[in-house]
Amino acid sequence: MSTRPTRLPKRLVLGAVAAVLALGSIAYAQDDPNVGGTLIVGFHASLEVMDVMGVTATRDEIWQMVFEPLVTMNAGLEPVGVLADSWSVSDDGLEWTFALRQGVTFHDGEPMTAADVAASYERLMRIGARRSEFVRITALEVIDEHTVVFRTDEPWGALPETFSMPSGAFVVYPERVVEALGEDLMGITDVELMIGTGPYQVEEIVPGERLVFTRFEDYTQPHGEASGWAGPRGQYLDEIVVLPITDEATRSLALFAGEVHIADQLPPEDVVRLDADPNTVAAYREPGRRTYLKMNDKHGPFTDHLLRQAVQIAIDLEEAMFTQGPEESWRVNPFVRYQEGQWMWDGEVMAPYYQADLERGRELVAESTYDGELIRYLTRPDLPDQYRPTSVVLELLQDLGLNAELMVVDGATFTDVRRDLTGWEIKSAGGGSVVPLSYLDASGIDRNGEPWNWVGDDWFEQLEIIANELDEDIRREAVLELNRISAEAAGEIWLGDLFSVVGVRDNVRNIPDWHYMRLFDVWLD
Amino acid sequence: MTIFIIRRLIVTIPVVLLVGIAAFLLVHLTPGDPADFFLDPDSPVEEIERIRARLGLDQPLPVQFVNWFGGVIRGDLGQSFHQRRPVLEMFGRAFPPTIYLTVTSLLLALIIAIPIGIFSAIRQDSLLDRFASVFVLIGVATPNFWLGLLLIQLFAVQLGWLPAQGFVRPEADVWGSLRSLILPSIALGYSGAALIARMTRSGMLEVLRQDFIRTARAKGIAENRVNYVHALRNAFNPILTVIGLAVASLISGSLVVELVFNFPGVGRLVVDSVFRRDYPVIQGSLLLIAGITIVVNLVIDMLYAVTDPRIRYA
Repeated sequence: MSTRPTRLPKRLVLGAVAAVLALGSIAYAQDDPNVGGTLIVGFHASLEVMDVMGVTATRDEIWQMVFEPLVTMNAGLEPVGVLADSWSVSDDGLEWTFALRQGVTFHDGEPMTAADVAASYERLMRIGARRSEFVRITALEVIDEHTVVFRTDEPWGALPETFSMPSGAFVVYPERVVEALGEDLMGITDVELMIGTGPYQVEEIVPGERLVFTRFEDYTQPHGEASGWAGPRGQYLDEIVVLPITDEATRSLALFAGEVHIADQLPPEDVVRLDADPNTVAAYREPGRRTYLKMNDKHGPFTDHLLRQAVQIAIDLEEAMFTQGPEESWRVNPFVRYQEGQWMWDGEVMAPYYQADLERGRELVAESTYDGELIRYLTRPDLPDQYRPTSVVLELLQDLGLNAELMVVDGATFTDVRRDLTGWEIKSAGGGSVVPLSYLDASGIDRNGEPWNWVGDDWFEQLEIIANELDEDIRREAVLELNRISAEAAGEIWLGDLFSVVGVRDNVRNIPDWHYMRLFDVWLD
Repeated sequence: MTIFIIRRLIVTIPVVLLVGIAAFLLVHLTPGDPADFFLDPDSPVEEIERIRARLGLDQPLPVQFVNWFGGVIRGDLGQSFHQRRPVLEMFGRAFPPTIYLTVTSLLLALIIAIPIGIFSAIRQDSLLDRFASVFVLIGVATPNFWLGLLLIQLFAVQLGWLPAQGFVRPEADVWGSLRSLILPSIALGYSGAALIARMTRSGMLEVLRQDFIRTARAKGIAENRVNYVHALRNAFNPILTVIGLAVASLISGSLVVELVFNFPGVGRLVVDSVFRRDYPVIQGSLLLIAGITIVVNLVIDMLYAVTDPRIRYA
């Protein structure tokens, strides 16, 4: 690895421009929609659970067809109403009044009312996977059939964002379904309980084989513009069949053989072949997944701030991201979160911290207390996004004069080992969800629920502003400051974002280029 | 023979018990927490603990074992952590595709391997024998998942003759079911065919050199009768042993082939369950696969007596 001049990666600078353009860039086709037909999707995951509230391991592309939340996020990751028509907050910031959209019916024909929202909220607080994030809500009051009020014990600006989180989501089930479920989770075969308000309803689920959804004829469209999960939801197809095909090579071959119309999450190396085949097209979904490195500042050599800074100043983010495949499928992004919308992306904030300067890195190693201790680099090959950069990063660590070696384990073992903070010194990490602002805190907390040592009072102060402040401009400034604090501490090195590659047959129309596939918007020629 | 079968079945009981204990311990000692697969990595620790309690993983290990094995004795293999369905019900759904796949692979292997083995022994060092050797060598050396991908590329993508993935259940469409079985059966059966062909050839060669074959020929018995009746029957017991081994290897090979062909069988169920640490399904699978292997071995032992009248079981 050679010494490089002080510079910010070109893609980082270009990213700032891209971020400005990103908000309005959802590319919908201009053709007239064709109504009818069956879409067959080769999906990367075998679906095992359907309880959107109870677990976070559900698949957004699937459940968003069937269930709807009060609030969702648009492509800018901003909260937008789905079942909520509008909301307002009282002057003291302690009362949030949500007006429900009227005329909405569940798949069984019954109207959706405030009683269903209340029942769903109570269930969320009993068994919800993310219920701890709602503890600031002290009460829910049903005002009338279409109005509910949430009361908080202190002003909580992030309430609508928390409601919009797709993972472990606050969706609305019919009150009778909530009663039928009791304390149980909704199983994948509990088809009779999968009653939502979404544009498609569950027709059949054969676990591990297929999921069949049919158009919900009495669906009432949300208002606004289609963006992210927000806005009107297309219903062009009669039927959507999802085939879980977990092996990516098979998924890809099924697409080329014409057995599926869409194959999601294909490896970046498939792009060349997808573009070469006259019957298929490669589409990218952005912002995709994140990949980063976490240094253990609670045990071992990386407790020394100088050593962490040495890795940070020396790493060439672009070189690390080059391992991820064609340049169209990734971007450098050292920010804690994505570049889209409300994240207030600003490349200049990070410029001083990432210089790709190996010589300066070596000087910092020499100034540190490092004395040749073993540095175990924990990683997992089952997640290629996280695994691919390991060769470059390992070489960097060794070039810095560190006694580093790879510790490659399977996914389940990785999850176990990373909790033991004496078991590793640096590890690969990543994330697959787009999350709103209030979810910044996750990066500062270790897997045992404790803050990392580098997390100080200033970090928490900014987090408080982001979570509680009602003024959006003040919140966004706090985001920038929090990113700067994070980079200064050098506890983690965010490498970039990977855009998911989706293989599509040439008769499939209207695949948006957003992070998630809005399957309900697709039509077939 | 009846006493032999009863004896073997009695011996099966401690074997199943040992497999059960080993399965339970191996699964629980393997790193990885099933609760992690229900929640995002950044979920609070208390939520992970709540999921663990829901799954019964907060109980001491001996209590978990007694609960699980008590159920096994009553014929209840437990409930999948993820699908929340009884393990036996999941097997009931996954087993038929695996059986169809294993049986067609075995039939394919036998139909190809035994004639090749016999002919290459009869025509030792001929061109046919050399071709057979190459066939065997390739079969032994080719990983079945790779062969599977090649077959999909050729017959599904390029030629469009056969489906690339999935399984059509025969009750839905018999012809479609057969078509969906062809490629995975070839991918799975080829290595077994190579093994059986090799053993058939060496078994036949050994028998063909024996005195009684020379005597048979001296008596003027037709060559075909010497080869197919006298020699083959005497060479068949070692072939039978290999077939037994091949069945076991087909079952284990189906783990990978089912993944490649997106076949909803036991193999994929096991692989998915291992990745998700779905303990009841993994434990149940190990028990059932051990049970099947024991039964197959028992059947092979019984067949020895059929093919070789000198063998008597008491």
